[in-house]
Amino acid sequence: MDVREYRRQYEAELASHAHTAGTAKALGAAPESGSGDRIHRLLATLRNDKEPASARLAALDALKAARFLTAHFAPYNADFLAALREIAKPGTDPELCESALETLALDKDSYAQDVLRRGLADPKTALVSAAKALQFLSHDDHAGVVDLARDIFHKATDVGTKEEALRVLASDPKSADLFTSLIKDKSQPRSLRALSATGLNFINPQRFAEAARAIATDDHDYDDIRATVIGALAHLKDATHVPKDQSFVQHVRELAAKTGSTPLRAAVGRFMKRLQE
Amino acid sequence: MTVEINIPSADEQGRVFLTWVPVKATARVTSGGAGPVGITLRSAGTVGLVFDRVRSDHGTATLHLDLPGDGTPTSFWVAGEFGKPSSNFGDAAVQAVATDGSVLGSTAAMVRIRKNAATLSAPERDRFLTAIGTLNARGQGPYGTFLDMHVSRTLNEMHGNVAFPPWHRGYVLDLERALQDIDSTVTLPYWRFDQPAPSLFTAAFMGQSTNTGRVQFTPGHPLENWVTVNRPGITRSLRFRINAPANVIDEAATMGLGNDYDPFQTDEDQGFEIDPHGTAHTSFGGPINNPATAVQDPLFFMLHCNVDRLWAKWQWVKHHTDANGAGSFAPDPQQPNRIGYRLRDTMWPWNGDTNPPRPSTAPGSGFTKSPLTAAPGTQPKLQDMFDYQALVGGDYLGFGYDDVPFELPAAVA
Repeated sequence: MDVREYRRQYEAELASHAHTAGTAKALGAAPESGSGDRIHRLLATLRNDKEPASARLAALDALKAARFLTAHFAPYNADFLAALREIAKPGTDPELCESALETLALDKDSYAQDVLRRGLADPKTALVSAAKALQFLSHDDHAGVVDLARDIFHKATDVGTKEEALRVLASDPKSADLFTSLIKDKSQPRSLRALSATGLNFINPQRFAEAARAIATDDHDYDDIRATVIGALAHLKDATHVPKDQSFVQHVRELAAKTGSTPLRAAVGRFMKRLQE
Repeated sequence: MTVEINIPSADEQGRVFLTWVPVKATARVTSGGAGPVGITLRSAGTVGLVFDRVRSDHGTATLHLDLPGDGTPTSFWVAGEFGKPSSNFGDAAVQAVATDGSVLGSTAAMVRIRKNAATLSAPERDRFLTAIGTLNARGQGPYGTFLDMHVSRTLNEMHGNVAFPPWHRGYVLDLERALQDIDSTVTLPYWRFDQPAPSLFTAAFMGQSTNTGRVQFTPGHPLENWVTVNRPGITRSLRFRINAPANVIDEAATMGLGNDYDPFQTDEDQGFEIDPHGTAHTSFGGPINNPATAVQDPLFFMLHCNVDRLWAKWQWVKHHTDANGAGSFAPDPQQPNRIGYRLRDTMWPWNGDTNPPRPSTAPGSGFTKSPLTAAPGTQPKLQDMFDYQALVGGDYLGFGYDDVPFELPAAVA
């Protein structure tokens, strides 16, 4: 391809776009004057519960984008967080409320953490689902939610909430027994077994390798969980935990030949490559 | 008679990697020649290469050389043919062919280029995923160092100031080289966020989000055991329809943000860093939408690869590859003398500088080396990031984009 012809074509496309452009997005168009006015205007829209939820969400998005200019946004950050706390309350549009709580939680904001914990303890006061509350609280290792997550895991009936609880529990070494039992329980939903494998792999790689070995060699277990555990063995940083004995390796090699599962064959391929390294 | 082709752009295993930037190579008779030997260099394989006697941007598919019979090397230049990147190592090759058509020598190569993630073949995708999964190593690998470079206490070094584009170019290149230490055939793909990319957000690639925002992968996927900040898994929810672009201005509008660096990068309300960069981040729920937590999600690097591609495209179309050229850069409007914001300053963290106003820690060690080029050294400066194709006297950094060509300035071409 001739690069000058390529330039000519590209410049023509840009010129054509310039004639038809209308790319100013809501609240992203030219400010009245200066950056500070724009931020203040966005904050006012965010706070104004007379504005439609869509406008307030757009304002929040614009503020979050502006926040990436960290030094410029620093003078407004405290006010921004205060505005988020104001709107994280009953009666606020659910999507806006959830987005505000997430932004606060990513900042490890203690007010938001208290709101989320209260909602988990008393679902009637919850502003977001239990799954989302656990997810948001998990952004801070010091949010003190492990015991609550364990309790919620055993009481929850929906898989999504159980999944988020397991993610929180993966930060606690005392979860190893729970993860081990879940991994081996073929009656559990696949996602919970896979998350348990990931969690056990994280907190106790040696115990995970033992459980993975048992699953990989169980021809009555599902191909997808076997792919998960074999794939995880392929990525263990400490190779001493990787089962390398001939009988195991041969069994895994034969799996790839027998199975119709593409993910399982791919996982076996990665495992074999790891053994060669 | 045999001809040896030597292309000094190889990894430790001797495999040749090229981009659109011409590399000086040699051919010489190694046996059987008596007197000058006329050969034709040509591209073999499914991917095209171009040749010239001088460094140019208009190489040709074949090149005739007369090689001395005594084995003295004869120089030539070789590059990938723009628009035709490789998919695998060896799909490109240089052949030396005699006048009777017999092949006298051959060297396999790969035209290794950063590509649109939506165009990757399954093997390319999987090589990238395996490499980045290995880099993470369940939270214990070198990915943790890259994460530590981009957290709340470090952000002022590279956000909201003129260092944003060059610092992130270095950051993305540093990670890519770490991936290439694992697998030389890998490049960082870019997420073209102003176009629909449904294949990217699938369980086979960067994950499919559940309705709670938990990202699911196919069983055994290399990212299934992703761990950062002591937490397994990735949280990401799309705030745009999967068959639509993200909530960003498009590429043409990005090119129209300014003809010069000020206002392209420096406009606090409408500059490049806010939209499309900031808006790409905030097109999601989850850690990627917060600057202090964004790197927890590996999609961060594909997002920033596109950010860098857009800067490279802007540099190309506006003729701004010379860091010291008018309009290519601008002093920071707020802190023009702040260390780290000036072209001649070395970049944190690779310089190990922890004196204020730099961050108090400097994760990692020097910039990752490449077997293909000595640039930018272990402690690069901001200015070293601008002329990445060595168009105007800079140093070749060893990467390229599928849609940004190598084009010499008119005075040189």
